[in-house]
This record gives sequence, C-alpha cells and structure tokens, in this order.
Amino acid sequence: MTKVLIISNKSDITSDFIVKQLKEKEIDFFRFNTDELTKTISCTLDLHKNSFILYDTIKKEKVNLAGITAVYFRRPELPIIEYDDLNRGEINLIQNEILFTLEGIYKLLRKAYWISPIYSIREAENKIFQLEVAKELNLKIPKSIVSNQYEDVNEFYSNCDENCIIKPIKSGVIEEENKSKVIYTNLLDKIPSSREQINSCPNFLQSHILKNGDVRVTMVGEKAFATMIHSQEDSKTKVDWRINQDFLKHTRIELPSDIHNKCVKLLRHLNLRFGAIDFVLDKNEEFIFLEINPNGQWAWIEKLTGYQISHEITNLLVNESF
Amino acid sequence: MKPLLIDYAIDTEQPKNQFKYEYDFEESLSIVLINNEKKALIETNNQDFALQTRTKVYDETNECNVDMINMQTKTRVHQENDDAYLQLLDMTIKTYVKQERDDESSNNLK
Repeated sequence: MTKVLIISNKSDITSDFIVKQLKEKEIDFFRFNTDELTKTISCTLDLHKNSFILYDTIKKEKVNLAGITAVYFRRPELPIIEYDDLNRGEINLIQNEILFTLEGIYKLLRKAYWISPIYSIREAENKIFQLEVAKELNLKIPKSIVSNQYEDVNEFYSNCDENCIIKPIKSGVIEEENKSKVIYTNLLDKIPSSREQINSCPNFLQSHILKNGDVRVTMVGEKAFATMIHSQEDSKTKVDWRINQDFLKHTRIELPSDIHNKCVKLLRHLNLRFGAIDFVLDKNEEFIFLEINPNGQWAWIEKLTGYQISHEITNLLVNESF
Repeated sequence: MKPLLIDYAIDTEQPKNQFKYEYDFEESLSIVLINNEKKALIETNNQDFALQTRTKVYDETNECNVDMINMQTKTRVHQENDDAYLQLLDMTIKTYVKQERDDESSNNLK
C-alpha cells in the first residue's frame, strides 16, 4: 500500500497542491516539514532495533519510515535555532547535527520511489553539466562559455558579433541583511576594460538569441506540459521573462515529438523523474535548450494554464511508472 | 573592483499586498480565514481576497462606519485589478527570490 512522504517546509505552497491531490485520491501521506524538526516533529532512529520513526506532536502521529513507499522531495529547510544561551558557533553545530540527521533519513529512505532521487537532483543542478548533456543528446544550445580568462571572453564576445547575454552559473540571489538583490539574464553591454572585473569570477556568457518566445516544459515522467511564455510582448521581458512576470501571457502548446523525446531522454540521462526545462523558441521556430531545473517550480503554470501537473505527480508517486 | 556579474544585480521586489495566511498543521497546508472559515490558500479566488481585504480594513478601522469600509475596500480592490488574487498567489508560489531559486532543491540546506 502506498504511503507518500512529502519532504519540504511549511511555506512551500507548491507542496500544498500535492497534499490536496493526495487527500482527494485518499492516499496515505505524511508531510515532513524539515523546518519543524526539533519543534513539532521529532525523530528516533534506532539502529539496534531497526526502528526509524518520525513523531508529529501536533497530530499525535507516528510515522514509520520503513512503511514509506514514495517520496516527493521538494524544499527542505533547516529549523531556526533560537536559544538565548547559544552562541553563533554552537548554533552552527546544532544546525549541522540536524542537517546530517536529515541526510541520514534520506539515506534510510533510499529504497522508496523518489521524485526525484536527491543525489540526481543535486548533480543535475549544475548548468555547465546540463548544457554538456543536452548537447550530447542533440538538443540545440546557444554558444556558451564560462571563463575568467580576459582574452577568451573577449574573443567569444567578438565571435558572437558582440551580442551576448551574461547570467549566473548558479543562483542569482544576493542576500543581504535587510533586503536581497537578484541577477537575471542580461544583455552584456560591453566587455569591461578592467581585466580584474573578468578575472575575479568565472563569467557565464551565451550568444544572444532573438526569440519568438520562451517555452517552459514541465516534465513529469514521460508527460510533457509545454507552456509558451509570451515574453516578447513586453519590452522588459524580452531577454529574461522573470523580470516582470505580472500579466505575462502563458499558453499551452504542443511540443514537436522530436523535442518531447529528447526531454524524456534528458530526464532519463540525469536520472530525474521531474524536470522544468527552459527553451527559447527562436525566430526560425527552433527550440534552443537553456537549462533544466531538476526541482523547479510548477504551481504557477498549473494555475495559469489549467494543466494537471499535481495530478500527474501524484499518479507517478503511486504508479512509479517512470 | 567588483566582478562583472555583480554589475547586473537589481533589488528584488516585494509583493505590494499580502494575502494573510498561515500553515495549518492539522491540514498539512496553508489556509486563509474567510469569515472565520478555513479555506486552503491554493483554493482561494479573487472574491476571497476581496473579503479578506474587507475584514482587514474593518479590523484596522473598526470605528468607521460600514459604508466607509466598503468604499475603502472597493477602492483598494479596484486599484488593483481582476487578477489581483492570482498575482498574490503567484507571488506566494514563486516570490522573486524563491522563483530565482528554481534550480535549487533547498533554500538553506547548502
């Protein structure tokens, strides 16, 4: 009998969509908000007795990890540790203890069916690796370079007719004390004259592709939910649609079978069961692969298009068919 | 001199209005209170948003008369637009910071 474990945090609204589906389908589940470990959730992992239990002190529920058949891995977070008598170093130590307990729990659940296996997600998150794999699978990718070698960056820029974008290799978020900043994909104005600006950090540059729009393909197993994001209708979103998402039109589209097959292959190659894949649809209506988010957001796509993504994820957790 | 990439950093935007919601431990999802009734956040709509706004305005100005409250609410809602609810939920689902972290499997576990 299926018992699903959702691993996430309390604020993850996307997991709410899965909770709703599981309830409607009357599938047994437990939502493990890892930010509640040491608060409303406790655990006992008894290696002598082979007994691995989570306790929900609010619901008075006892969850035997051995009974978990499927895991939906979303966005675990660490609990906030606030004890007046602990200094920063001691808090860090406690957080590491919690972190490694969580990692142990993931290992104990290794025989369950994961969407997606956690180590596959972590491996697939690297954009350089993704581009290499996509190219290997004959997906078209933009000309791309990662370099902090001044001459090579300059040469790449010239070879792209001085029409390049620059973007972060990982996340573009800069967190500061009271506010945060973000770096989206930007047109590169020019190569700076200062070598130091290039040498001091690897720079991820790609040829700038003129596009008809952006396509987000949400893959759940073999099912593709393809959405055209009409980014070219607003001057602010032409280069990166995320900069001004309000009222950006989203429409369902049918993927060419060749691209669909390659998306399935990409998932299989990366050992993923879910992926949010970003393409550019260029002026020749060609799909150009940008990146895959192995644990990307999808709830807003479901809301805007009516695609039944949560239904499909839930089905996959039960049927384990991919 | 800062690395080139940093030149492109911009301030993140915060949602102008917040739909008031909280996590319900019994239900395992976030809920909103509409007329003292629980409703899953993901099932709310524009009407709920208007109702919650009205309640909020009433809470904040509980000495005002009803007409005044309604006027304020209508003005507020009107100033937004028909999709105000969707925007707010959308923001909740993928605030700029979280959305940007599309490629990360966790927020503070690295």
